[in-house]
Amino acid sequence: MIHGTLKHFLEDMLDIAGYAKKEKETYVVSLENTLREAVAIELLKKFPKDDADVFTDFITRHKKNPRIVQEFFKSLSTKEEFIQISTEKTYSFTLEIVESFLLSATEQQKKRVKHLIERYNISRIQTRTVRS
Amino acid sequence: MPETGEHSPLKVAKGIETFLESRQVTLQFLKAAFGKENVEGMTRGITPLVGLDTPVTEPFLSKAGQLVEKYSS
Repeated sequence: MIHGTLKHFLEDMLDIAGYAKKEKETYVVSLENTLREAVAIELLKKFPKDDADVFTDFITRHKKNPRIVQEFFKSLSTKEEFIQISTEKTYSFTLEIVESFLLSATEQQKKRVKHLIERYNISRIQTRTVRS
Repeated sequence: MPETGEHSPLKVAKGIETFLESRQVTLQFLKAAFGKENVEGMTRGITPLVGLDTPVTEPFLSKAGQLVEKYSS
């Protein structure tokens, strides 16, 4: 099976870090929520500071209900803009997580992450070959 | 209902809350709260957050590889 999403990539990295299945699920959910907040902050940068402070307060009060926060932010931008901000932030955010892990990883774990990256690269090449 | 230019930031936040929780909000309120330019974005269809279901791409793997190199002895 070819693993193709950032979620799979992060789960594989958490395997290397020694997380149990339940811990991994909890961690990924937490990451998704943090990611929403990160996207939200990007969107808030479009607004004057006073408004942004109010919105931040709103998010804080509703952070236990991601659906409300998510829908609110989806309403703040056009579809194209939202996708662009969300995509860019998702990649940069995931790289930040990879870096955080590497900072405290053992040499053996770093080697395994390197192999993981190689494996995903091979998967991508194979997928491209099959499609073409 | 607040008129354009007569709302405080706190009222705006309260208005957003009402909008999200009851879904009973008028276009006039949205314009008052956020300005005409932003209303178009608000009233468009909801797009799911891209999130971690985003595909792993070559640039991402390349940057991740650079990080591994950076932190490997």
